[in-house]
Amino acid sequence: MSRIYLFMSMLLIALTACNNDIFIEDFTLPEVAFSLPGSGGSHTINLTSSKGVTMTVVMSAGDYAFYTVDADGNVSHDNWLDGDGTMHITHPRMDMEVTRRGTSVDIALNHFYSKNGESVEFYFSSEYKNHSDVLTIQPYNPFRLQAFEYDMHSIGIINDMGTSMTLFQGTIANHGSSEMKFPFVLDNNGIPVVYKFVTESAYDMQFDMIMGDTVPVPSSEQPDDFWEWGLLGDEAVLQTYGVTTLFHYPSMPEIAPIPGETASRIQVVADTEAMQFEATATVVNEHTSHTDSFIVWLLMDFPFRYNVVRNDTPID
Amino acid sequence: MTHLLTKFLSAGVSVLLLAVACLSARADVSVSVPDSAYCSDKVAGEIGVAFTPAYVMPTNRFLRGDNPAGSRIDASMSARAQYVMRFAPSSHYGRWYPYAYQGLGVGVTSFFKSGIFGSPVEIYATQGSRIASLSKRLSVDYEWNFGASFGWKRSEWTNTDRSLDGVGSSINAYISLAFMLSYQASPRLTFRLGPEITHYSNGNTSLPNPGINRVGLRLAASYRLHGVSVRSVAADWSDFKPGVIYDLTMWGAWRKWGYYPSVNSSGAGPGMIEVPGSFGVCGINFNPLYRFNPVVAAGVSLDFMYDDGANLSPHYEAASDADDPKFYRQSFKERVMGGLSVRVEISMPVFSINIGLGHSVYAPGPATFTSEYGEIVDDPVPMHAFSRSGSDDTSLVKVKHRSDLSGLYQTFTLKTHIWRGLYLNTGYRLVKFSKPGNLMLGLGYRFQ
Repeated sequence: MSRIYLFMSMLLIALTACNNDIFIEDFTLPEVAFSLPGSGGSHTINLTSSKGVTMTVVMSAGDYAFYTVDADGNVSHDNWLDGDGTMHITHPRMDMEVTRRGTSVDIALNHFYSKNGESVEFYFSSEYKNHSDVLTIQPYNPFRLQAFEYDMHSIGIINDMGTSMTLFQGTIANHGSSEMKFPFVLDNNGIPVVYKFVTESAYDMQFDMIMGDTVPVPSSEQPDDFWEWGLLGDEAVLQTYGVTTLFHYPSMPEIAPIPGETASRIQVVADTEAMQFEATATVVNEHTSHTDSFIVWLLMDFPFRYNVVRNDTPID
Repeated sequence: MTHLLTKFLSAGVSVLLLAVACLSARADVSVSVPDSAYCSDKVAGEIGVAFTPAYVMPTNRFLRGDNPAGSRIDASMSARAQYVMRFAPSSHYGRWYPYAYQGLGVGVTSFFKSGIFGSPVEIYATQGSRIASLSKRLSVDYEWNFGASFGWKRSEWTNTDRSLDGVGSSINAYISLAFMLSYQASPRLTFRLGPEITHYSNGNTSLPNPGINRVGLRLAASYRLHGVSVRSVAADWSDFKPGVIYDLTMWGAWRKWGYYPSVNSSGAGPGMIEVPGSFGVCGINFNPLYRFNPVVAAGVSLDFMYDDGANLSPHYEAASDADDPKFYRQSFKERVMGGLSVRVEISMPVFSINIGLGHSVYAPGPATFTSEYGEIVDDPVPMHAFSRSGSDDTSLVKVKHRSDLSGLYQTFTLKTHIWRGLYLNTGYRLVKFSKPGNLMLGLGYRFQ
């Protein structure tokens, strides 16, 4: 009797297994987004089904390197997996490993250095459906500028013909009868200079992470051709291009008072010279406790000669 | 092909087991009986022939003329020959069922328009008995036939309204019931005349499956080869004790399903469309029965069934190719049903006919889905595809889809008792009295 029922049971099981050609796997994601700290973390995405599902990892713009190994051990640099496998994604600022096993996708973020946060899209697609799960990585910047040491010997840029910079241009009208001092005290407002920080490309990531910090810039109060540079307290924001004001600098020329009932058109133009300073930046990565030192070049367009053009016109 | 083989095997096994049962019936030691007209401990055997001109009921458009021949199919004629046996009067079956006879038969039916249906040949098991005696020679008898008919011409004719019609399989089940006036002309020769209804169907194992129904007048004659006739004898139930028996049946089969492509989208769409392939169905019935007497028993059955193709519509992937529809797997609970049914069983030698009326108790069905119609989608409709009229309101609403397996169901089962408590189960499950269900082919055991 038991054999008869066993046979029937097997037959019934076989019956229920027929016509599987019409069925396709349905897969859903339990979430549409998740977050990890940039300092590192892990997360698992659980699919309801993995059959016929392709996983694609979409990064934001950047030079990301993919090292992908599928279940058969085949190595590629693809950002997708059809089935089981591992994906190691690297970038100067990021290290992440994605492991796909059946219906589980394990994400291990070692670190992602960013100032504004980043997002990574895990895109799952089958023949008829697709779902995305977006990883938001919180901002994390462990880099600290430890030191910024200049070699104060300046280097004039060879073959640089210099440029000119208009420091002041305008018309001042004195409707009074007595003379009026030139209202703009140029020397106390400092001298604006254009600057540019450049570093070796190998250290671009660290440089990018400390950009925005304030660093000292060389200045001098000597009007001679061969200035004696020093760090007198003037600063600039560490960024690729910028304009800063040097308060310690040879003062602007005196502008004679404006006579009474006179409109005075004044233009102050400075001839500039490109100067280069070399500095050693020391940056510590507090995440790894690793310190890097690298050369940073500061190029500044210094005004070295002033030309004052003035045209006084009586006011009728 | 597999489902055809299953039907053939089922019919063949039933017939073979009946033959074995009949041939192995032993003659008991003679027991004195009231009627001195018979005093034999031998099995009686008869051969018979029957002719049945019948009217084909126009139950679908195919029969009413919407077919390749363009003509109505309303007339038919069948001819059958059969061998039946009666158990020795002194035997257990002979005492309980003195007028019962059972056997095997073959027949052929012509629809006079063979270009459409062909002339199917039937092989069947049969059983009959007396209902009432009117006189010494005249009585009212009944006889049922159950088997398979072979040689149907498959037809998948698309009607003008794009519904599929015709006969979907070359082998169909054959079921017949006749009530006849029986006249014993001589000790060996008996004539019978009476109405007969016949039904042919593939049990929803193939599409289309409109069912062919005939109503006719059977003219039959039988000749006793050996043994004597039972003229007038009361059944002897003195050794019968009323009580409860427990029937446990396991069954399986294949069936067809359809789906509504527009059930999850806005806008009216086509009606039910056939799903490619067949689906497995299986179930278990536990049916305690109280036997009032050797003929009648009644009880309540606990029914459980699994249907692999139930509730597909909400899981249809609309982006899949219409010629190759794809579905997401239904949850397990959408494929199961638990129900209770009231059963009545009529027992005769070797065979029992069990009829049940039940209702689902557990048939969760799928979760909510969007529907244009804002109504509870009803249970499965007949497999003839038809176009549902669209609704003017095209806004999407959330509706609860009633499970394909929920609601009223009816069961018709023939049990062939083959050895001790073991029996073959050949049945059909109908839904809401008119919607196709599934065959139920399996084995059962009777615990007493």
